[in-house]
Amino acid sequence: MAAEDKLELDDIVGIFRRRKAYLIWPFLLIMAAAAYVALTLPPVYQASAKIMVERQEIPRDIVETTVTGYVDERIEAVARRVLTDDNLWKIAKNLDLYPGERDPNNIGATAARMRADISREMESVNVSTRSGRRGSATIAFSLSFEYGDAEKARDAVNALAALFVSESQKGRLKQAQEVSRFLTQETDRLRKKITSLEDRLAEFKREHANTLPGMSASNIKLQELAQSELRDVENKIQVLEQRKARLEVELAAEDPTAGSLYGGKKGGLMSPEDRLSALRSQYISASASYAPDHPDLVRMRREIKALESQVGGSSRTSNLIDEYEANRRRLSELRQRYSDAYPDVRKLKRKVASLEKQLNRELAAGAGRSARSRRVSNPRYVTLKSQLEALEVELRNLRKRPAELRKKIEEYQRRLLDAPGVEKEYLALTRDYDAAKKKYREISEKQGEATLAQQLESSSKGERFVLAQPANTPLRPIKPNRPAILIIGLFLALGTGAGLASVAEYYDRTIHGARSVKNVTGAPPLVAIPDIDELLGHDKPKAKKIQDNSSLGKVALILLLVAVIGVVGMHYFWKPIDQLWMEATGNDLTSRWEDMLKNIDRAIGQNLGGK
Amino acid sequence: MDRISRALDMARQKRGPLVSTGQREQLGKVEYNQTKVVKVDNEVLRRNKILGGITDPRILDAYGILRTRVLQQMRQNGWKTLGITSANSDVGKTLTSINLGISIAQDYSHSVLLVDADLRHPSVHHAFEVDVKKGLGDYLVGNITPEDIMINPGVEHFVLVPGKGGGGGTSVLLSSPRMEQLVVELRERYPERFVLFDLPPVLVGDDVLAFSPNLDAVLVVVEDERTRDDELKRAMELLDGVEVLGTVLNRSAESVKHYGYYN
Repeated sequence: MAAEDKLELDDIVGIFRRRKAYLIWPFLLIMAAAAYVALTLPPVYQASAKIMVERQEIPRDIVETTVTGYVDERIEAVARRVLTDDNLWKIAKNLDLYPGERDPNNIGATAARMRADISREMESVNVSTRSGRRGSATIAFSLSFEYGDAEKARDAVNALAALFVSESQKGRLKQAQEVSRFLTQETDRLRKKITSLEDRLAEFKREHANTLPGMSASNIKLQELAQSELRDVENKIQVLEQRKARLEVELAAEDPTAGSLYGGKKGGLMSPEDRLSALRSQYISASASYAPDHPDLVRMRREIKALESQVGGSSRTSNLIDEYEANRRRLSELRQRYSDAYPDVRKLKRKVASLEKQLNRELAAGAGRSARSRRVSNPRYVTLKSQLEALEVELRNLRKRPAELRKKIEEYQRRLLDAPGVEKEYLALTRDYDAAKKKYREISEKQGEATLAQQLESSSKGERFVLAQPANTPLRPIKPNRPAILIIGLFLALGTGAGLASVAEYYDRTIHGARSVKNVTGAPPLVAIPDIDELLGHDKPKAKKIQDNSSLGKVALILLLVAVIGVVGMHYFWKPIDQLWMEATGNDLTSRWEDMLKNIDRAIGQNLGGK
Repeated sequence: MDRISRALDMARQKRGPLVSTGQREQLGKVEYNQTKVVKVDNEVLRRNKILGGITDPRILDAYGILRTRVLQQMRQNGWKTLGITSANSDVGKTLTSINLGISIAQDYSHSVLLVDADLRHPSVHHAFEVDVKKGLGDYLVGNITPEDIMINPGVEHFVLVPGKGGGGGTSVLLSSPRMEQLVVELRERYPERFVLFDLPPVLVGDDVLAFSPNLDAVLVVVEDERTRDDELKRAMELLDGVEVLGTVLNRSAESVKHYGYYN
């Protein structure tokens, strides 16, 4: 590749001519290998069964199934249950699959091997749902199994398909039962909850009977009633108090012993004590309305003094009267001579006033004292007295009421204040209760549906897998794709050859043709003399041959190197070798070669036999 | 042509003093006996791919072209001596020398003397499969006449001097005055004679460079798909200052196609 200018057709022809060995040998080697592989790989048959996913027979509007999820998902779930190690091992054992490879101690390996040969393919149709959305729905799936023996492949697929169908039924029924059982549990739980809530509500109502939200109005009314009653009672007390005061005054005016207030004048009828007592009272009332030196008063004073000494009571009243009289006389004497402003007059006036008060007091005390100690004989007095007593009893009773009423009002107020708190709690309780009731209704409805759905599933009226088309014996092997392997081999061979030739060309520094000479020396050669040996059919000189041999060795080495690099590069940068192998041949690379080779004879025999 | 004649004269005058008159006299005195003729069988020629034994027109044409182009330039430049070398060994340098020589000798009225100056690996006489006792090396170190070592292999106007003998120090021998004297002697003897020297490869030793002052020009043989471009480049660099007549692409794979219309 000394030529620095563009590659021309002649150059390419030259390269081909020069690198024939690089092109031919790898091509032959790889093609031979590809041909060997293509022809010796054992045939693999694929048997397929189709399983339909039948929709629920009873319309969903009438009975809704409780088994939900996408069909694909369910198929996958069923597949997991079907393709267990145990199931696969049983099938492999019954049909005698993978003879020689089956190891009872390692059923997992056989199952894995078998699983790799099983494939599922969903069959979908495009549908538009009621809501108008378009999508694809899985209506069926095909189950395939690849095996070297057509009949065994068919039997295995049919066994698997049967498992799929039965497992799907079992699974759906189980799911429906589970839903139903769950719902039953849930209704029980809710019923219990409702009962407990009811109990709590009743208890609460009992506890807060007076403060429940409905009682507010009546509490307000009661409070108002109590308040008006309180007002009435207080008014009544006031009235009674006034009456009582009046009665007392009246009673005080009556001499319990006299028939009448002025009965003393009749004489003889009254005892000196009664007369004294009456006089005293009379004097007190008179002194209020008359001047002290009123003749009546003077008279009465005299009379009192006389009676006092007659009765033999205390001499104090008499002394007081004497002193009072004396002072009063002196005062009037002095007044005649002096004006009121005269100091002695004033002094005396004060003394008289004081004595007058003292006297009145004394007389009043004497009147009371004597009245008590005296026998009650005045009928009017008795009447008054009993009236007063009745009044006092009534008053006494009435006076207790306001406190009671106030307490009541307080109680009502407290209830009114408590009401919001209680209401809150009450509402929370009722809410819980209502919610629980609602939930219970819903769940019990659902439970009913679930029971129905369970019956639907158990009578196989729900969605189910149906074996639409059992597998037939495959007539032709699907693998290996011998032409494809050959074509891959062809391309690989061509590619390797071209690659090697390019590399060789790139690293070849020798002169190639006239142009190359011109590139180096600046002038084309005078002449190009053909290879005489070639033209004359001579053998190449010995020296040349030896060199060719050594370059052949180099070529082989490079070839090997490139092949290794190519394979390694392919493995890491394109596709892993085992995967590539799998794609090309449909065989797991891990499957042993001896097994494959063992099959070769049989395969060839079959091919020949078939023809 | 005047210019060329003048150049030739000048060249002769220039070279004249190199060879002393006395020596020339001495050489001139040497009686040229009949050159030893060794008849070489056509079969041998054919086997060794030498022109006399080859009839394939493609090969003849190729050498014909080479001869024409070489002669054209040699005559134009008044060259008499032409060295034939290559970058490396085993590229068909000797065969090219022989066939070019025979080609020139056959078709034109020129005589050709081919000197095997590749003293390291003399091979011209091997190509003719003649048994020689003495060669150029012996002449250079010994006391023999050029006629003693000349051989006519049965081709008209074609004489060769085998490269046998001499031993080591080939570059010293090739640049020795005796060699120089021989070259002058050979080129001067017949005006219509061309002297071709089969030289060792440029990159092997310094023989070519040592000998190049004796040459008018050199022809570089390149073997297609064997000579490496870097080697050729180096050889051309070493030959800088030496008149390079041109290159010959030997064992060309593409020549058949390229020059096919000569058929």
